[in-house]
Amino acid sequence: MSEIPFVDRLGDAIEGAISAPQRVKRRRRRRFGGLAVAVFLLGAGGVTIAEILDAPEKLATGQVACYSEPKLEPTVISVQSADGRSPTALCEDVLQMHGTALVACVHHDFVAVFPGRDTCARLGLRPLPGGYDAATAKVARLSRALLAVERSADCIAPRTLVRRAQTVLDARGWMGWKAVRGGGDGGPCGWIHQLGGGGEPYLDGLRPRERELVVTSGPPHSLADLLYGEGSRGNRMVDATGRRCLTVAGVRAAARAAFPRHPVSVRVSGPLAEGTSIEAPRGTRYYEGCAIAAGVGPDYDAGARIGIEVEVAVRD
Amino acid sequence: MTDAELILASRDDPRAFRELYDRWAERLLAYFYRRVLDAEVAADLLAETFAVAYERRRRFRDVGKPGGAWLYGIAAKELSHWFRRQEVERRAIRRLGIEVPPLDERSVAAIEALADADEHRAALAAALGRIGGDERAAVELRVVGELGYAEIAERLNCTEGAARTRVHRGLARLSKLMEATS
Repeated sequence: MSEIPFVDRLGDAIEGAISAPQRVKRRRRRRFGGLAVAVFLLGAGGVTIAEILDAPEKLATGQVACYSEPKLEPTVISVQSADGRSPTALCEDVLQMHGTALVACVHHDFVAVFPGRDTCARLGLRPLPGGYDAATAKVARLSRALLAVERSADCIAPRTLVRRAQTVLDARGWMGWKAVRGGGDGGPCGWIHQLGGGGEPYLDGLRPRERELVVTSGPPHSLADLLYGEGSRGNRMVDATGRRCLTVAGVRAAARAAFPRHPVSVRVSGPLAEGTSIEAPRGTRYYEGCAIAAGVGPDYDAGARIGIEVEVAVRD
Repeated sequence: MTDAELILASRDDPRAFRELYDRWAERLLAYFYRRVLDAEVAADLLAETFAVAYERRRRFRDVGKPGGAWLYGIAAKELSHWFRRQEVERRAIRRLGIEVPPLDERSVAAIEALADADEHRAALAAALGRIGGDERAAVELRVVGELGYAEIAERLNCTEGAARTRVHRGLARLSKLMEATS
């Protein structure tokens, strides 16, 4: 028992959620409750039950969770894709499970994909609603249109991009949706898609519940590609700091050599939090006491030009 | 049972995971609170950290390191995400369907006490004095004054984006300084 009531309540909530039999029971109750609310709203506002329970558009704008085993447990990889592929095709690639029969269903408010044709029924999860494929295709079309606008220049101010995104939403029939400015890193350019691990853009700013498309701020696309793109100079520079043992000055020199056209600053972040894992060989170097680059990012305070800030981690 | 044994047992037994949670929840909550100085954010970070830990428990390998270090590794990543985006990643919470309970006044007071808030504030004041003037002002307006970024920008005569950057950097530097003193 904790003296903090919240800690106990959260512990109960986590324990309840991870106990599969309890989860199924709770789900049934929740669906029943949802039906009651839906019937009430139907009378009040003419909203259909299917829209409230399954809302194809809401599902299509959310994430797809790819489960590698036929149960509601990890290993799960969650992906956001708006390229129009079916959830099973998406998870086939993500999980590298080509040739395995996968099935997609609705779990809470997102799409879950499992191996085994009967898994959804066995877990008590409902199938994808009618209209889901059409909604996915609609999201893919929106994503392509927004990406074209977003990438029409190296840098579009967030406010301008909000306006243009709103025009796209209106023109493509996303009635009631609003483009809004969100967070970001304070950079001068608007972003709608984010870059995935391989540098690929994915639509990340849809908030179905609020019916909002969020435009965040960030660096110019050319700088983001330089820092984070697949095989980018930024990634190569960070990886290279694991090849031999460097001092902080050595990392600074490597960064300056990698980015000769940008002002480069170095921020020494000191030791990483205990337990932080870093892939070899950088991890090995770090634990040997060498300085490594922990990451790179834009430096908006560098002066007239946007600079590059390298975060250096060193144990002592 | 050691922490590592609990993590391994939690692969098939939710009760083992609960025991791990009971052992570490308060310490991690204090860890988060000392860095973000916001009980709501700390509570969300705690929930996401354990949700991620649950999802990754099968990847845990007992190589003789303390199990707590594994949890702190996840916590540090969540914290880093918060510093970058100023929002708590809640994906694992959603995937597992965890309904995070609301934070009540009693819990907020207990979290502040747990994190030695008074003592911490003194250390915080000292650390604040060591970060740059612009960033210090931005952090004070955001954390102490609880102002929005637009208002901070107006007060500091800069763009909203620059205000956000200053708060973000100031908090990151503050966190490192506080880590060094704790």
